Amino acid sequence: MTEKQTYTIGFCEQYVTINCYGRQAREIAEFLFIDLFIDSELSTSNSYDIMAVGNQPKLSLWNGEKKLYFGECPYSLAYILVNGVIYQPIVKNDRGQAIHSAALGYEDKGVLFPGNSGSGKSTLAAWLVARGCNYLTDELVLLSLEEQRIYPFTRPISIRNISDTILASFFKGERKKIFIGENGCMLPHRLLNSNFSPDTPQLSLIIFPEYRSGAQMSMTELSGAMACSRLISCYVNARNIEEHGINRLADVVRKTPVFHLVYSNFNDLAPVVTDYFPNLLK
Amino acid sequence: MEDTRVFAINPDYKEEKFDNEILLYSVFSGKGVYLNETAYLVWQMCGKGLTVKEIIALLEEEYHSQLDVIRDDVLQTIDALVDEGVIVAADD
Repeated sequence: MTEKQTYTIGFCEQYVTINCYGRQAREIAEFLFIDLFIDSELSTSNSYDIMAVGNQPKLSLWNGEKKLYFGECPYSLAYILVNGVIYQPIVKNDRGQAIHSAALGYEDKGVLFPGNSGSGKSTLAAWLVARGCNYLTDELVLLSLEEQRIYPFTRPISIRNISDTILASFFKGERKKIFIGENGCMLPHRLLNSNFSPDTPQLSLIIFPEYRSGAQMSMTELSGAMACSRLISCYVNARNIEEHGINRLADVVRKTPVFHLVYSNFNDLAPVVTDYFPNLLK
Repeated sequence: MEDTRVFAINPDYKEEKFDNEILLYSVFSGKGVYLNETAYLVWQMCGKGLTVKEIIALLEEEYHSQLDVIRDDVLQTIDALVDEGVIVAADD
């Protein structure tokens, strides 16, 4: 009989259970959620089952009796699972403002890279982490209401539709340590920078990334209204916050420098961001 | 032909001022709409119940040096504000 291993994931006082059946199931859970595991048994809001049974395991993912995945690709299962879990903690969360954003620590600063899917925030975060920034997340943060402190949902860096050339610009390790699928890959952030320290830094800089093939590199400061408008488009739990919290976002952009970064490659990126990240590794 | 259309501001949107710019946001949809100075003027005049013709006339009186572009700017701005949902035809 396959042994069951249960993990509890915690993010901002919301908890999810992951039940794993089989060695490969445990490896997937640990690959995805190693930075979010908690020891204590708390009541959880949702639970998932990962099954990997038999000599040539077929993988399956379940949410209760609902089958979410059946196949042999760890990347595909992991992608569905992490994207199911990630927004679970914010459905009812009113402790902070949830922003669809990558986040990094740089020296004592917290930097947000808000953007919707395809904006290039994960790729940019990977490149900066490989050059010394402290990884926090590539997808979601909760910004505390009073202190504007960044609480990151730390997961592997997930990059869709990445070319070998771009991957090689920040990852030179063994490919068997990352999850690769037809549509993208997931990279454990420690493979890019082993000096990881979990952190909840104060927000001090916001950069809206935009990957645009062939475009000229630019880093342009945004006005308050423009910055707030862009931030609202990445704001995912407005309905939980009093008056939707827009006035709080307005305060955030009044206190924080906000830029729009257009990039098209990594060869020329360092000089563009050097004023804000002066001590990046070569 | 005189443009006698009248637009009303959508009351779902509140305004947040940033120096010379305005952000309109809906507390119902969580949507934000950025307005530059011209768009803000047009939006305000819609709120006063002016016709499109009156809005153009007022801006032409204020900005003599830009007479050749004001009409098109106002019409484009009104189209954009309607698309964003921050103003609606007054008889809707």
